[in-house]
Amino acid sequence: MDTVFRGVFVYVFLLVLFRIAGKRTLGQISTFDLVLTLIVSEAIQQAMVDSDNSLTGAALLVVTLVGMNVVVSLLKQRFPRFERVLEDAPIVIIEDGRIHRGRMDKERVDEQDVLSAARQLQGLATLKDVRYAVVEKDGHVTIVPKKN
Amino acid sequence: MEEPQEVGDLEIHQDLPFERRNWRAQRIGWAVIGLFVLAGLAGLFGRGPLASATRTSQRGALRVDYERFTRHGSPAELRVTVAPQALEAATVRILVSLSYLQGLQVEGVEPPPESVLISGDYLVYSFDVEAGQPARILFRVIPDQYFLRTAEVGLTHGRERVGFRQFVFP
Repeated sequence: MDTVFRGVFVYVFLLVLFRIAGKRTLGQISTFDLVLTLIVSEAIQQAMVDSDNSLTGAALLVVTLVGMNVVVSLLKQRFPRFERVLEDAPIVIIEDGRIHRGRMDKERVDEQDVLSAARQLQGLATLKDVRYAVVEKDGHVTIVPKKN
Repeated sequence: MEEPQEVGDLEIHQDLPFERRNWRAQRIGWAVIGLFVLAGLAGLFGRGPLASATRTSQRGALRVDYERFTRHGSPAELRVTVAPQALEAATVRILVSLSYLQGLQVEGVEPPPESVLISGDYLVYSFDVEAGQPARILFRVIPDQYFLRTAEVGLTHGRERVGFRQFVFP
């Protein structure tokens, strides 16, 4: 029971702390992503290692993980279905200027994210300059500008 | 490799029917996550109301407070209380099944026993006691072996016995 409380506390604590520290402290990554990446790796570590401090144990663990990576990439290559189930597929949210609101909601992407991507990637000023917006497999939004 | 679709003049590996199934699967996944967290809060995975349990011996001389659910490598407690009427001599002897003890690390026994004796399938802990008060003993343990563990705790005289089971999550 306390495990859940600890998790919630650490998450909220870090979120608030980095929020207070401000944007420059974080650089590229958002508070949201940072907190998750940071604490998941910390939470998992002890469970994986379980008081085994030997070189052999470490080597075995690392080789197993790398091996898993190889197996998954081989499976992805051989079975496109598997790749899609594992990594999702891109989805068009703005098509020729037309906004697919339902898809944006389902992907939890909003106009702000699209505008930000439009500025970052293409130097575009408004949504009207966006021809296609796609939520890629990795969650990033990419933009194809309108030809003028 | 699959062929990309044409969306306008965009070539893209989009798959809307798949996405619809994907979204539904995600929602189901969120519900599962929610249940998992609630179960954890309730103590299903140890350290909570669902996990706390008590067993009392037939004549009430011995009471054991334990956790039904515990986790490997995670500290747990076993509380043994002996009623004052069962304390005849100046020493009380508590037996605990060896097979149970050998599946965990005993971090400490409070109060420390005067002696620990191996007696067949049991370990016998002896404590000096004063008559008139219940004797409360705390075993601090860290479960080691996984899954279903069976334990027996008893008093050497009066043959009072308490049996219980624990599930150790890996």
